[in-house]
Amino acid sequence: MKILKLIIASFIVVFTVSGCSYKGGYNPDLVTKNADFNKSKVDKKVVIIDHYNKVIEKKPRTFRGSANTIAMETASIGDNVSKLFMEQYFSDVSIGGSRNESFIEMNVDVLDYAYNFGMISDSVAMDIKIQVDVKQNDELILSKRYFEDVSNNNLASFAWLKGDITLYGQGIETFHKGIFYILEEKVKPDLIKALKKRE
Amino acid sequence: MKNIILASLVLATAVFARTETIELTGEYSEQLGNPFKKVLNINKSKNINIYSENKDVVLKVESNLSSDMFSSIQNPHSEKIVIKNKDIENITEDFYIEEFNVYRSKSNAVVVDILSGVVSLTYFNEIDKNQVHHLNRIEVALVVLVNGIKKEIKMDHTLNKRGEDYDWVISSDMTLDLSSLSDKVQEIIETELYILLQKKD
Repeated sequence: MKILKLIIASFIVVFTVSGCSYKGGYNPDLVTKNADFNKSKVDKKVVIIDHYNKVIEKKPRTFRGSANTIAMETASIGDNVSKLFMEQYFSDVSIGGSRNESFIEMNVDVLDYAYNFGMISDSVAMDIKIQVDVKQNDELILSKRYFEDVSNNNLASFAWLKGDITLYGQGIETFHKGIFYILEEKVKPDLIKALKKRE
Repeated sequence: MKNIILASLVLATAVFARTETIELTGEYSEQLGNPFKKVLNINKSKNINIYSENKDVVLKVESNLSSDMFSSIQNPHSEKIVIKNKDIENITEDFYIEEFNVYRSKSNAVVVDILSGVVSLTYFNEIDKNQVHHLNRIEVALVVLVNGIKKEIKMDHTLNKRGEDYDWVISSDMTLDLSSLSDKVQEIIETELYILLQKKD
């Protein structure tokens, strides 16, 4: 009887403590649909600052799903989504690369994110914190921290994918779309304002 | 006596019939297309004139809440929305400024006028204990005259961004904020007029 109790107890421990980590790498399919490449472009060069291999691994904030973590490759997702965002408007966009003769340099640094799953419905609530610095001719024209709620209800007007519908898959998709949403809806108006001031 | 009560009720509803004025400042249409191109003022060789008539357009507000004589007291939204037709020039300008030098003049102009329109609001059926009205859809239908050609357009609060695969995903409906109704209506009108001009070319 004692052994049985021990076995049950150890199972409980194993189930609550162990878990696996989902790798959240950049997947263009999750976000490309939301970008619009039919706009007429500005013939200028934009450089996105490379963040190399920054990964932030996080557990959900709530008990549901808390055995597992997502190891979000925040650098690669942040940089690539920024590139995608800029490619809508400019003809020459690159990550890293020479800054000579560039019109602007954009530095999108993902500082943190937090997420949890709905207790009943399979929804994802997520907050993302990013720091955006934009330089024109080595002069800082925009430097702002954005802390936004990008839960999938907020992004309901975005195109969603018939892709991975596991909670973690949705978490990774929400992260991609969330970064794009912040750039498009929050950063773009600020950047336009900053450029207007300089013109 | 009955007549007096009735008359005063009618008077009350008349007093509470609210109208709201929305200015189409171009705040939202400015962000459409390629706003960077608009700001940078790249050399443009072509000129264009734009014009909209100077008049007020009254949009009727409809909703799925009960529409008896008390509705104007019960309903949380305005009954009429007034827009200044002249303001449409802000949106027309935002559309053409990427490729043209835009001038506001009547001769040989691209003329855009709103003839009429309806704002439809859809509330959740259940009203909760606190009598809070949950709004979940705003749609603006307009009849627009572009260079003498009559066009009917319609757009809801998702601004047609919603993807075709959206329905498949389980997600709760969102509740729209009533206090930002006029902003949302402004955003919808500016977006749908901009897209109408886009389709025309």
